[in-house]
Amino acid sequence: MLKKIILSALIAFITFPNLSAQDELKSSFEKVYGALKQAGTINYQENCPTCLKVANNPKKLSNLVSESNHQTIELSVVTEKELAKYFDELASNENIPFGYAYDGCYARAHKMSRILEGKGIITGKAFVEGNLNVVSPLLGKVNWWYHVAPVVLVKKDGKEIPYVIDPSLFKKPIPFNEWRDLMTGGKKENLDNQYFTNRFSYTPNDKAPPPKLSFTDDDIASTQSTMAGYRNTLSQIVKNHAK
Amino acid sequence: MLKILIASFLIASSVFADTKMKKISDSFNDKVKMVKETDEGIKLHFETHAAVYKVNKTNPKFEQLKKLLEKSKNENKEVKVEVSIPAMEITSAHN
Repeated sequence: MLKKIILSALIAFITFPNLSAQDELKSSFEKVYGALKQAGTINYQENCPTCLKVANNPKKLSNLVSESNHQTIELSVVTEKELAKYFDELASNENIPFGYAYDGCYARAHKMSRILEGKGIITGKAFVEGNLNVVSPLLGKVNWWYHVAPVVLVKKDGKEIPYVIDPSLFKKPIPFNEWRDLMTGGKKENLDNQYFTNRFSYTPNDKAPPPKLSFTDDDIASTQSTMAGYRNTLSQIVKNHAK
Repeated sequence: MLKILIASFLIASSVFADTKMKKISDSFNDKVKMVKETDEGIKLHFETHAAVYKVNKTNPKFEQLKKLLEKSKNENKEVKVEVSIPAMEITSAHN
């Protein structure tokens, strides 16, 4: 925009035949240019405390093709060591009720994806649907019809491997296949569907194209209320366990 | 005799602890995605919630709950449910 204004002023300056008018125009141009230069750029997020600011140093991005829902997702590529650091930071976040394995994976995944975006890490979501069974350290047997967690690509042995961040089930980031197999017991009959989406998806309903293009207010509100509710339920469970 | 006394004490304290335990429940609004009949009653999937929920035939309101949950699925409308934890059993439902 600024370039266009300067260019228009220069063209007018060159083509203007009257010299005094040229001086006048030059002076006006200098005033406008000075004011524009001082004004800088408008920060539309300045008065938006809930807006997450993307870090200025985003990691390298690479594409992950999700065949079953016909999507190609752009994800950050990180090393295992870097991912382990981000995982530990997330796992120690007490606002995210990782211990409440009964439900709420969609809210935990959404929150993690937003936090990581703030650190310049572009995640996607890994979804598995089927007869999924896990044993939670705190709650025992848990049965889900689907599960979701954030996913990024890890460069290892010259390959880019999808790794899942799921502190509710693991103590470190884990390759997608291991994560899926834990829930299905490695049995094909327990797996109905597996797919990836971009980070803006919230539930399996968002798997089909067109993909969501931003974090919606409704999903953010649901994330907050779900996590608040499950933090409360989890503290009741812990109290009961202590009795 | 001592063994019997210790055993009685352990049973009594366990029962006491159980009665002191607070019942835990969850409530939420969601759309029913699937209702499947099982030998014990029905199993349910919701659109957003990831857990498998159920209603047992032993529930005195079983037929009423089943009808309401199936209606939510067929009409693609949200239903408010209360669930007992950790059984993941729906104890009540409202439109």
